[in-house]
Amino acid sequence: MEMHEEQVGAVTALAVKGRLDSTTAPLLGARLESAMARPGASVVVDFVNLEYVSSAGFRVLLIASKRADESASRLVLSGLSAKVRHLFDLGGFLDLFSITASREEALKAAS
Amino acid sequence: MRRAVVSITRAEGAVEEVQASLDGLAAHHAVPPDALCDMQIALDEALTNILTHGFDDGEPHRIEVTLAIEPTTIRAEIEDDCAAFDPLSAAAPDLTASLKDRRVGGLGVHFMRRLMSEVSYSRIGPRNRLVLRRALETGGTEDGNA
Repeated sequence: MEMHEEQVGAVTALAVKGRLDSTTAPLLGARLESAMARPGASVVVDFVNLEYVSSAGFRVLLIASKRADESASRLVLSGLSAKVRHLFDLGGFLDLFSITASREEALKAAS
Repeated sequence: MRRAVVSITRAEGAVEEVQASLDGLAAHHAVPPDALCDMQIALDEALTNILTHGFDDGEPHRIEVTLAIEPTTIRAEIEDDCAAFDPLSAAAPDLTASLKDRRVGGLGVHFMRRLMSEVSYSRIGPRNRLVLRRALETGGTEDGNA
């Protein structure tokens, strides 16, 4: 898994490439935690180059999403491939997270 | 080479080693990406369960993972000498709970069941044996793909 981070205006934009699983999820979890440390933070995670996500990956996304809810922060996910979307659907997560088709839409939704 | 065996005695790096072994086999036999992806997820879930719950008693343990590419399926056999644990007995997760009440417990087994064509568990003497099988053709899961 590779992770890229940049600041786009007030939004922290993360991009995750490869596999989000028990080995790599803690790395994303740590990035999300620091990006969302400030109340009112806006974070986008682009999954356009994500191969798959296992339950360990969903765990860190769930923790970050709960944290966003509690601290008036925004977390928007984007770029789900058909495979990744299917996994979100299997886990019942499509309605739980804010998800947009493209990174551009996610950046708009988060700002 | 259609088979690979990986022995695990410590948690650190174990899942990565099994994944790399499966990647190597899959590359050799032109396994479709969808089937490989599903098996990698199921292995992550199964091994994480054993390493988290089976290896936490302070005793030395060993997991043996046999990976095989067969004409129509990928098969993984996972045997461990940890306390008896049938992952298939775990309660199904509530996939409709609100964000506040949502838990990830049980999700790994749910993914295993839904992504594999077949999952079976047996206790043989002092060993747990979990067999995962994923049909090689696309959309091989019995519940159907979206």
